[in-house]
This record gives sequence, structure tokens and C-alpha cells, in this order.
Amino acid sequence: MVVEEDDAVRGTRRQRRVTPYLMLAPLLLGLFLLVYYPLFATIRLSFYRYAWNKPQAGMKYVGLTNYKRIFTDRQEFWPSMKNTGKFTAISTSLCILIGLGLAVFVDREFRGKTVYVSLLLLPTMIAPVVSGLTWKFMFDGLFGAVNYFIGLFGMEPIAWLSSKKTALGCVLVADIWQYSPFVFLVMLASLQAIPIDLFEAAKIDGASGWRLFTRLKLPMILPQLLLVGVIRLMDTFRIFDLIYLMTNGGPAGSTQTIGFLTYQRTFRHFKMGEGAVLAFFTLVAVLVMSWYFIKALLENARGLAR
Amino acid sequence: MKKLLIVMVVLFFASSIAFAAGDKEGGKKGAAEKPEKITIVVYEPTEAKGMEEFGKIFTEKYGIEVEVFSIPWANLHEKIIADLTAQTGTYDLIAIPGLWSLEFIYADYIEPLDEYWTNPDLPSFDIEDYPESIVNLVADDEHVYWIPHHGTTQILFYRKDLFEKEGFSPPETYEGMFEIAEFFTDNPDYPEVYGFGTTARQGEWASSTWCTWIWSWGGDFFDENWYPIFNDAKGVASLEAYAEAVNRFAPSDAPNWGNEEAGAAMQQGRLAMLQMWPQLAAAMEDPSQSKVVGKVGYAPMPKKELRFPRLGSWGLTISKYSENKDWAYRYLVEFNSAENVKNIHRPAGMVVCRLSVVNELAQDDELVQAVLESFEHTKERPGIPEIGQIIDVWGLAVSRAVTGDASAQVALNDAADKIEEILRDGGYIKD
Repeated sequence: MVVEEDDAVRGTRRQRRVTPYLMLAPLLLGLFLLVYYPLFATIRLSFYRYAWNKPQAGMKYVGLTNYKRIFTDRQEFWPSMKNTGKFTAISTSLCILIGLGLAVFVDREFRGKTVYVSLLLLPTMIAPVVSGLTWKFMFDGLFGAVNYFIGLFGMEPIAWLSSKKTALGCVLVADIWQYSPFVFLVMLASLQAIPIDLFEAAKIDGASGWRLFTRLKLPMILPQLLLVGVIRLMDTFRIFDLIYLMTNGGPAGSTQTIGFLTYQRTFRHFKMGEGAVLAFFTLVAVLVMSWYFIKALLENARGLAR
Repeated sequence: MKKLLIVMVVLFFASSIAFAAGDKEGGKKGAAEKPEKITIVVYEPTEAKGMEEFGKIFTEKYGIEVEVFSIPWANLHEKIIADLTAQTGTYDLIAIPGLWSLEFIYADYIEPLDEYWTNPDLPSFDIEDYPESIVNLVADDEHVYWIPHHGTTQILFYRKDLFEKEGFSPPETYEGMFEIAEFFTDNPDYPEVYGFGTTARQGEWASSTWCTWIWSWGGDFFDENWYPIFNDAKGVASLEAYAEAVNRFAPSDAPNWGNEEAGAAMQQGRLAMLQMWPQLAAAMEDPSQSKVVGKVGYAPMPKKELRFPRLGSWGLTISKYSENKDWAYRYLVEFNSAENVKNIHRPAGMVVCRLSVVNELAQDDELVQAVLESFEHTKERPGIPEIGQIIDVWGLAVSRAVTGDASAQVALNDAADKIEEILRDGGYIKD
């Protein structure tokens, strides 16, 4: 009898050990197939010379040659880094400012609020391809709506997408227009989740307006703000679709970004090794840049937990 | 538990290797069993209409369905390479431009067609009825790999109504073209008209149109040992002239023009002259879109030392991995018959190059005359596998010169350094 009880106990214990792994197995398999295997395959590919359109040349191990070639490229890589840095800094910060500003403005009751919020969210519902093409037509020098409107104020038409001074700005406008509503949505939800009694208590203590925002609202929504900041940072660093549709990296490389260069090197030039270097570099760069935000997020979470 | 996990991982990898695609033998040549369907991949939209129309005739005659995959130019190359690399045989017939010739031949992706038309069990084909310069784009010392259904050069579209009014003739020289362009630009009698336009967008567009200028100036891209020579005096002079034409005579956003934008500007009556491919002529005569129906004339590009426009050509090839090679070849031959070639010309957007047909069409067609005259001196850039990257480097250099980011000499010197590195890496330059 004692032996049967031991068997039963052992069986239950084994079941308890195995069951969590079995539950997680499909997810882990999916993660492995869709994330880790491609990641390690890409890193491996970065050490090889492999031209997709030259199968007769095969794959040849070249060590760090691809890395050296990319990081010493003054004509394409470093100008692309500069453009990407500018784009990321401006788009991320303006998206957050505009999104947060709109959220603070809308965080009150007024007539037509639902309709107003729905209209504000429209840009996020449009496919990026449609948005890119629409903005390209709007910025057209001969037939575009933007030149039509500035013409009403007596201004001369501008070659928006053909000038090095304005082309990147145009892509920024298209990007900020499309993604500020996403920031707005997250910030509005965060503001509306703050308990009302905190505001009432603060008002009783004499806080109002700017102090209320900086001392109460902002700290309460900081985790969400950091989160959207990280997401926008990642998205803007990898920008590709708008560049492809609007300018093809021109004029004179002024809108060429790391994301576009990665696409070019992989799918136009078919140099898979160099494309893998750029892809891996993008991953590392995004991780490094978002490290501060993630660290702040975790510290904030720990602080709340205490 | 750990052992179980290790066993699962090992089994997973083992099964991956077992199922990994190995080398696949292509369908055998001469396997004449009639398929249910043959598939064709073409460049949208120019090619698709002609292929689909003839596909109906082929289906009616043989009971074989013809499926046409029509893909935009920007994605066509990578789509085709992906299929050929995976050896799936999705496409029996593949339309390629002359620019990809060596890449496809070196990689052994396409079938030598001379082995088909000399096969007594298959229909013959008179390849001699095609310009040698075009046939040789996709040929090596031993074989021919395509039948080019579309072969043309860049030509000059011009507003014949405005030219007649002002007593101009299509310019014979670049100096003459500049004079006419200057007349129309900023002319109060023609407030909405600019003198000249071309596609100067960074990338293939700028590289493509500048080709015509550098060759006309007597320059070239490489010497016999593959060293870049396009940054010599002739190359620099041609790029300076090109940049001047774009900046002085074209609308201010021409530096970002591709074919669609440049064609639209001509269609809307904003240009007196346009350097363009003939297949856009159909758009000029489309009354639903064009404001210049019946007003556009076609002439060869002018000359500097020579008249030397860039050659552009598309043709069908048979995929090495096709399971239906014989029937694909039959479609190819019948599609390019003298009779069908007349049907696919211009109304379907193509500009055919079968000489017996073209010579007949040229009697009534100014556009065909312009192209025929341009065939005297024409060529394409070398179709090596690295050409995609090289074109992007050229395109960047042209864009830098046009926008004033760098002088033509500096832009071309930088491009020459980069391209020399690419060619060394590819084994073309051997020191």
C-alpha cells in the first residue's frame, strides 16, 4: 500500500514538472522558428559573402570583411546613419509632443468629443503605402495640393521632394502625421486612467494647470510615455516604406536611411552578407538606444512595486 | 526532462536537413506531354496586356491555360530571383530585360533557345529577323537565350504643334535642343511650358537617361579591363550638360522624376520636349488622360559626337526549372510570329523589333522611324550580376551633380572609386 502511494505521488510530481513545459512548447517552438533561428542565421550570414543572384559563386566565409566594408563606407553608410539619426530624433520627439499635447487637450468633456477623437485617429487607420503615395502626390511640384495652398498666399511653388533642403522634411511630415495619433491614443488612455480623487486632492491643496500636469499627470503617465517613446524610436530608426515611395533615397542621398540601405543592399544588389550586417547593426542600434527607456521603465515599475 | 528537450531539438534539426531543398533537376527538355497550364512572369503593365491577349488565342488553339503574372518593375527582379533560387519552377517563361542577361546566363537560370529551334521535333524560328545588337544582349559565344519581343531606344518626344508654330524642326544636335528648350522656358507666350524634361530621380532613372548623354559625348563606363572611365573629361562634360538641361529647362521637381512623373508632365502639356521611352507614346494619345492628343511628335535623340541612345529591350526566356519547356517554347515562337508581333505593337504598349514587321510599320509610324534611326548606334549597360549596385552608384552621382551637392567631377570620381571596389570584389578587375 505504501508502495502504491509512492507511485501515485511520483506520478503527480512528474506530471507537475512536465506540464508547464508542454504548455509552453508551442510558443517556444514558434519563438525559435520565427525569431531566434532567423536571428542567428542572419548573424551567421553576415560573415559570408553570398550573392543571391550569383549561385554559381556559392557562399564563402569572409570573416569580418562585410563589417569592415559597411562601416568604412563613407558614401552610403555614414550619410545614411546621419539621415537616420536626424529622422529618428525629430520624428520621435515631435510625435510624442504632438500626441501628448493633443491628449492633454482632449482629456476633458466637450461636445463632439467622440467625433473629434475618431477624426484624430484616422491617419493611423490608413495603410502606410497609401499614406506615402498620397503625400507624394500632395508634395508634387507641378500638381501637388501643398503648392496649391501656398500659392493662395502668394508664395512660389516649391520642389519639395526634389530639394535636398526639404525632401527629408517632407518624409518627416508624412511620418509624424501618420503616427502621432497612435501616441495620442495611448496617452489619452493613460490620462483617463488616472484616478479622479488624486486630482481633487491636488486641487484642494491649491495645485492647478501646469503644476497639476507636471507634478501629477506626467509622473503617472511616465511608464506609458516611455513605452511609446521606445516604440517610436524603433519604428523611426527602421524607416523604409515612406522613403521607398516618396524619394527612393534621393535627391543626392538626402533621404537615404539605414532601413532603405538595408533593403537596397539585400533586394536590389542581392548582397546578402552585407544586408545581414546592416540588419544586425539595426537590431543592436535599436537595442542600445532603447536601453535607457527600458531601464527607466523597469526602475519605475520597481518603484511602484515597493 | 532535459533529455527529452535535447532529443526534440535534435529531431527537429535532423528533419529540417532531411526536408531541405536540394538541387533539383529541371524538367527535361523534350518532355512533350501537354500541360494543363503554362505560366509567364512579366513586367507590369506594358507586357501583360499583350501576353494575356495572345494567351487566349493559345488556349483556344491548344487547350492549355496561360497564366500571366504581372509584377511592377520595382519588385520584378527580386521575385524572379527568389523563384529561381528556390528552383520551384513557378514560372515557365520569364520576361527579362537585356540588363539582366549575363546574370541569368552565368547562373544557368535560362535555357539556350537555339537548341530548341534547331530541334526537328519543335517549330523553327527565324532569329535572323531581329537586330543583332538586341539578340546578342542575351547570348554568349555559343547560344542565344531569348527572343526579344520589345526592343527600342530612348527617343525625343516633342510638341509638334508648338514646333510648327515657331518654325522649329526636331533638333539634330544637343546644341540645337538647348536653343529650342531655352526658347520655350520662361517664355511669356508659353507660361506653363518648360523646354525639356527627363527622368532624373536618384537610382535607375537618373542612371538610365544619363547613359544616352555620356555615350553621345563619346564617353563610356569601363575600359576593356573593367576600369571605370566615366569620370574622364567626356563623362564629366556629358554630366554637366545633363545637369544644366535639368536645372535650366525642366520644372524644379524634375530631380525627383521617374517615368510616371515625366510622362504626366508631357501629357499635361507642360513640356516642349521629353527624353523618354517610346512605350509611353500610348499615354500621350489617350484622350481620357492626355491634353496633348495628336500634338506629340517623335524623333531620335540628338547627337553630340554621335547619336547614341540607350537600348532597352525585353524578351521571353524559358526557365531552367520549368516542367513544360517544349510547350513554353511553342508559346514563345507563336507569340513572336510575324503576325502576332503586329498585334502587340503599340496598342498593347510594346515597341516590337522584328525587322520585317518594323520596316513595314515604319512606313506610317513616325515613332517606329525614330527608333529605327536610333538603332545605328545603341547599346545597353553590361548585364553583369553587380549591375544593380553599380546603377545605384551612378544614379547617386547623377543626382548629386543635378542638385549641386557636388560638382560633376567630384560626384563621378566618388562613384568611380566605389564601382572599382565593387568590380574588384566581383573578380572583374585583376591587378
